Amino acid sequence: MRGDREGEIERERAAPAEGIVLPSRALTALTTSALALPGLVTAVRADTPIEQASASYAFSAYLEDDLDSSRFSGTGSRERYEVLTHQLEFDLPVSQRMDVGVDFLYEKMSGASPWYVEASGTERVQVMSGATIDDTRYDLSADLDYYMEDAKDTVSGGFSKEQDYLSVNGGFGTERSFADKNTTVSGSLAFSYDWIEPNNPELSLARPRAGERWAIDAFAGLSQLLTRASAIQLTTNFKYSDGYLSDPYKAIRGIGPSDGIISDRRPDQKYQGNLMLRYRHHFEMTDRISGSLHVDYRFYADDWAVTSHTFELGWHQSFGPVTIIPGARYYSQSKAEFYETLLPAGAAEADPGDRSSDFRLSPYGAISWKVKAELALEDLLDYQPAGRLEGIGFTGGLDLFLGLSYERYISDGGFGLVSVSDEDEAPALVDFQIFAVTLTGRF
Amino acid sequence: MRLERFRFRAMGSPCELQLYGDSRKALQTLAKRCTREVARLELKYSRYREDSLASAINRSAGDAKGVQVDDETAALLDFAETAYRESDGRFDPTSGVLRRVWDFRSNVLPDPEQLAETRALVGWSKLAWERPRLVLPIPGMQLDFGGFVKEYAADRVAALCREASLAAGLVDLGGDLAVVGPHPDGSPWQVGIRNPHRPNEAIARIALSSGGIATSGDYERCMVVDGIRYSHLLDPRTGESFRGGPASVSVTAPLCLVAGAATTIAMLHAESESARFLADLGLPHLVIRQNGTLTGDARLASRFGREDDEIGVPAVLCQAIGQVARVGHRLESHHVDVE
Amino acid sequence: MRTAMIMWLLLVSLLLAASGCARVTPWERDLLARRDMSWEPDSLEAKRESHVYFSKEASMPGGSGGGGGCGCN
Repeated sequence: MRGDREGEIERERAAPAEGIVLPSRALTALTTSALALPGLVTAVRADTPIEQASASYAFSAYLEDDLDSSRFSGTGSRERYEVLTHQLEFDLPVSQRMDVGVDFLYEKMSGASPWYVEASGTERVQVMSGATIDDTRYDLSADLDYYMEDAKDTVSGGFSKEQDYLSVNGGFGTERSFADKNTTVSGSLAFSYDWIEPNNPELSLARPRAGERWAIDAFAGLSQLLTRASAIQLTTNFKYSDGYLSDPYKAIRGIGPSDGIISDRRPDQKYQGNLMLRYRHHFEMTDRISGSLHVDYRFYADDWAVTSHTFELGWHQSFGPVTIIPGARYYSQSKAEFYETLLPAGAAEADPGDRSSDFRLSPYGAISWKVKAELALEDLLDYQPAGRLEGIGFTGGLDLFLGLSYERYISDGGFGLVSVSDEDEAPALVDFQIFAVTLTGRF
Repeated sequence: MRLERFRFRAMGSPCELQLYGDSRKALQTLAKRCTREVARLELKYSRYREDSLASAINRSAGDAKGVQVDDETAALLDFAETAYRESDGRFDPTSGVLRRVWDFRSNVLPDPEQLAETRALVGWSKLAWERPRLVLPIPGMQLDFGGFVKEYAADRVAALCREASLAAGLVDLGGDLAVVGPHPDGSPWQVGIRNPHRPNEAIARIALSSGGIATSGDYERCMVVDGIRYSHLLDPRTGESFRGGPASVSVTAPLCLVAGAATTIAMLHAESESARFLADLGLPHLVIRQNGTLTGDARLASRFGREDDEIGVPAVLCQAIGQVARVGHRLESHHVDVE
Repeated sequence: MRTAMIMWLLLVSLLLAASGCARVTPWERDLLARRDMSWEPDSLEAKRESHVYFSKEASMPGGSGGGGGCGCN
């Protein structure tokens, strides 16, 4: 070596003129053996199980507006439904490949429900149930996710119980990702069985003592990442139901003053299908402020001739720990082929076949808007990671998320995409509001 | 995009993660996962812990049945074997046992008899490694993963971050660095190389946008006996403190693990041979000689640097002492030495 | 049904558009991984809402596989 002066920079060995140096055999050997180490070459997984256990609790109050006095027959109670709901949800990582979710719901319902429609002059007015209903519903469901390379399988099951009603369901779903997880295809098959034992069957001869139905629901979905900040999803469901599909608490009467009241009767088979398109786009504003746009559209059709369109828009605006989420929804449906507010004169006496005055099968439109605020209270109980990994910048413990939301929903025959005749507009079309508080803890 | 830094201590060294992301919470969760991974490797391979796999392996020395190891350990052993073979014995995980006789705090040279006894326990060729079974045939033989597990951990953590869809970040485990990805604007990380003679100053900087970098130096610990300086670098081939090597070697490679092995081997070459060895190996490098001069590799600047870098001489990767002050503003990580 | 046909055309064009899209690499998914970018950011709310709409409207919920029924009055 020459006696280099301190600070002198020397080029010991120049690279070949082209600047390309082939790796030596020794380097190839070293690199090859290093690359054989598990986990050094990043494998892209479809999804990973959740990492933090979380528990959420939500309380919501669903309050229907009283039936408008101009649409009320005077029979029964104008005070419509009120539902107070408690929901509890747990998500727990079980292993590197598995997580489970358990959901519990308890709700208390009270209020009167629409029974049948009467004519008051040229107007249609609603007869409400006489006694107010008081019921509770319990719902328990659980699912188990199993994660594989570029895939996820889910089994789920649950049941729902009311005084007059029991439903059990179970299903299997799978998800596969392709093209570096840019495309995800999913599918599921679910089965449900419902058993209905109406309250007070003596109130109506036609009210069955018990009824049952089963249904099978097939689902397929395709999600595609579009850009770094946008993604789209298309899903479809097909459902076949068989059995008692009528509403034991609904009736229909003839238009004539002496016409009788007969019970609601619907076909005992139903084919339903929908297509749903969802789009998400994220907009970065500053380091702390950003927003995500949600656009959803759903088309629905069934073989009872109901078709519907649903548009939903949401905006998630984040200001650091606070997120404000305004949203709007528009819904429009056509009527079922056997829907009528009133049967033609005399029809009730001769068996008129399938018939229903249920406002849910009537033609109408609905508009709803909603606002939600979320507050993240992070790192409530700081701790230092165990062992020798003490350090700066790490906090653990409990993260709490508080959410408050309000939704207003109004429906009207005139809101629909197609104009509705006065005879077809259901007087019981519902307006409601929902208040909800959610508390989520992640551990 | 925000940059979050997480500092912690692991594997006996200060460590730092620099991660870019949108949510502090998400970065914290990821950082926690990273530290758990480092802790896992430390618990598994530390020879200071009774309950580690490394201790279990070392306890098996003398047992002809040996131990059966898992895939990760097997791959590490395969790597060690390759490095041993390619370095003509300079890289040898069985040499850790020499530290029992070389006490650099005592300023006393080892007893020649004891040294000879210990030397008999050193040598990768003496052990039997046939996946998945490892046999240390001689009682007292030891395997030390300390020479490469920290580098492997850096690569693992960087891979974890990439798996979590992180695009920009730098992992520093006590001077062993692995890049997750360049800064969000695409610019490379600027890594400062410590001046061996003035440990609080950077002698050079290296721009790194992928792969890893490792540094070895002989300045951390040494002792002077009878006017002769004995560095803490022990040559597995002789059992003696190695003399005549460079003061410090930094190497960049696609994986920190490879860079680390290369620096270890290069440090056990004569000062005049060291850079040539690395050049032959085909890895961009920076060698600091005992007299403080630097010698480097043209490709480190051209491969990892940007055209508009302040580095004056495009063919050279490093800034000499004195010039570093002017570029100090982009210095993001002071390279700390370990061994 | 014309609407259904439009939806299927949409599906086909979506697939075509997707195949032409530049791929989003795994390390570029920081924004897509945000909670507010998920299909259903609040699962309790999603369940509650789909139950309410399902009870008060003729349509069945979309976007996910089938679940429990309800006795809706």
